[in-house]
Amino acid sequence: MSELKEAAQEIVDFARDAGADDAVAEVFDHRTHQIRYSNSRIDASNWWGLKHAHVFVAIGKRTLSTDLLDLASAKASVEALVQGARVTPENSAYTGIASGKFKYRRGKADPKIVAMRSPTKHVHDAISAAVREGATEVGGTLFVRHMRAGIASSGGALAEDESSALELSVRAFSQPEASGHALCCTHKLSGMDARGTGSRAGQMAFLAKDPVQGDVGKMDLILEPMFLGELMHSTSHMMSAFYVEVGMSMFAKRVGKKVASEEVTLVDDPTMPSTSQRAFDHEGVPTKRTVMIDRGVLKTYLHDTSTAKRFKTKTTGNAGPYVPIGFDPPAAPLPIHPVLEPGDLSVEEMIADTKNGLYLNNTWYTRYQSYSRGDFSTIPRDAILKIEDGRIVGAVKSIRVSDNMLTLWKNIDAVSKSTEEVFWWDEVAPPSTLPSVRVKGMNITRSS
Amino acid sequence: MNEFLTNRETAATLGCQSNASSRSENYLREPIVRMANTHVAPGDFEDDEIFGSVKEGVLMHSFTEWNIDDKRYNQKYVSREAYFIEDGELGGPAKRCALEITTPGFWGAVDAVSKHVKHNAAECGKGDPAQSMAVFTGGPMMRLRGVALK
Repeated sequence: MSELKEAAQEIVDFARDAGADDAVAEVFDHRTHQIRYSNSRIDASNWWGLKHAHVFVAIGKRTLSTDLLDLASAKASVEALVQGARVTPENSAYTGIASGKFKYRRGKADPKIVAMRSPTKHVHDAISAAVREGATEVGGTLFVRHMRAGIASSGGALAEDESSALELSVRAFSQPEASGHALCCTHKLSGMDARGTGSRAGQMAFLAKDPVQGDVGKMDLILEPMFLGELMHSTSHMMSAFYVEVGMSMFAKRVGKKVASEEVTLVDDPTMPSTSQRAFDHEGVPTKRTVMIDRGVLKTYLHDTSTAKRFKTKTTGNAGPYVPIGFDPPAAPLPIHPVLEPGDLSVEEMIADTKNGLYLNNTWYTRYQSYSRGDFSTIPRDAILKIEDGRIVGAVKSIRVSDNMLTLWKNIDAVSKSTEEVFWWDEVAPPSTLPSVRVKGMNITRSS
Repeated sequence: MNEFLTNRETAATLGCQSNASSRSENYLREPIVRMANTHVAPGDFEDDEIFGSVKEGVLMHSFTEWNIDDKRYNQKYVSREAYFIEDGELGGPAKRCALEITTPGFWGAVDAVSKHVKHNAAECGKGDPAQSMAVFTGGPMMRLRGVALK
């Protein structure tokens, strides 16, 4: 048995010996290298190495979890955790963890990424390429990641997984109010195209020059994968049975119903090669490809064992971490790698077929007035390009998309055949593989 | 405008002294410049004086949907709990009042600030990798004259 699995199994044994009915331990060994740059110069090189374990225990319906940072004192910490669980109020939502004999397909890291010690060349390549396209200032980040995880549970889970990632974010400015943003996210070094990414950011910054105040009213929007990836954050979270149960999902009571246009087939696929490929979820269930929306019709929510029992269905292998990460709640099903199936148009064809619209590079702050209705607004950033009679005719600024998210998904009438893996900061997350889309007749507002 | 929040790195760039506004989530993260307890200083008005002189308006108690652009110039807040004001008296609840306004438009419209400051505990996310930190949010009641609600 290899090191991480062995450590996870040992923690589960400690928990069971201490009196836990159920226990899950996931041991992580993360190595992360970050290059941070601004004004076309590298500011900082950070390197983090962290080995830790998420531990979950249950005594009946009394549950407790922790993030164990000192693995050398695991036995005493786990005994204290079990002792704490004894006096914890019952968790009525808890219905047990997955049990059975599981088969896993372990992922592999790219040895070239694992061995990488000096990734600055990619940053310099991206900056140079953006400047060649007309950028005057370039900033962003490059992350180099190597992740290993081992999991064990009292339900029979025992597995190990490994992955690697390169995530390059390039934001280029041609003027103080004219910027473009491009990403390159890949699990293999051969997939890194720093020059191409810098060029795209530089081209967008050049096209975004001299922006004028944008118009309000209904417009057709062409959304780049990065823009759509930001909307995917809330859309894919609302697929979680947890968010449905707590009243924070526009998809509640809509399984079997039309929630998007026929152009839309949306799946969660942690099994495909990507930066977020995973062999198992956080309770040790092997991951699988789950069709959430099939040609516009909602097929299922995302489940772990507890939500699946409450919804009288089976887990989809989407158990989230037992310890809260960022703004995600603990022990809730979460999307792992959303994929929107490609269409058959090129982006150029989509632009040529648009009479009056906007081409949108990126957005942030997608916020909801009502999660259950899907009323939202989002504020585009970076290149906002005006389309008239099939051509990009200039740049605009200071506009907001204020509409309804279900309407947005229902109004998609064109999907590009090209797709791109996108992941940026907390906004474009989780990592997703997405095409560009065109959305008809969305409401554009601006400040009074 | 008096001064920006800085750490030693950004102060050096701006040619000033750091005012020690840098914090990190834990030992594994870079300290970054961020607010801790940022609020509007109290003014001279009682709360009922502020809405008591409003002929037609809305008292916005809390908000939900909100966003701000990357230049911090355009911002939007939609009310969660709000009440109509008529002839200085609070009326019934007002639903989904949207204030979509520029930053100079917002602060330029303030003509009265309460002497009472109230705070709530909150969380703020910043940085890459993201760091979540405890912050205070709140301040005094303020009156904005002549702004458009949608």
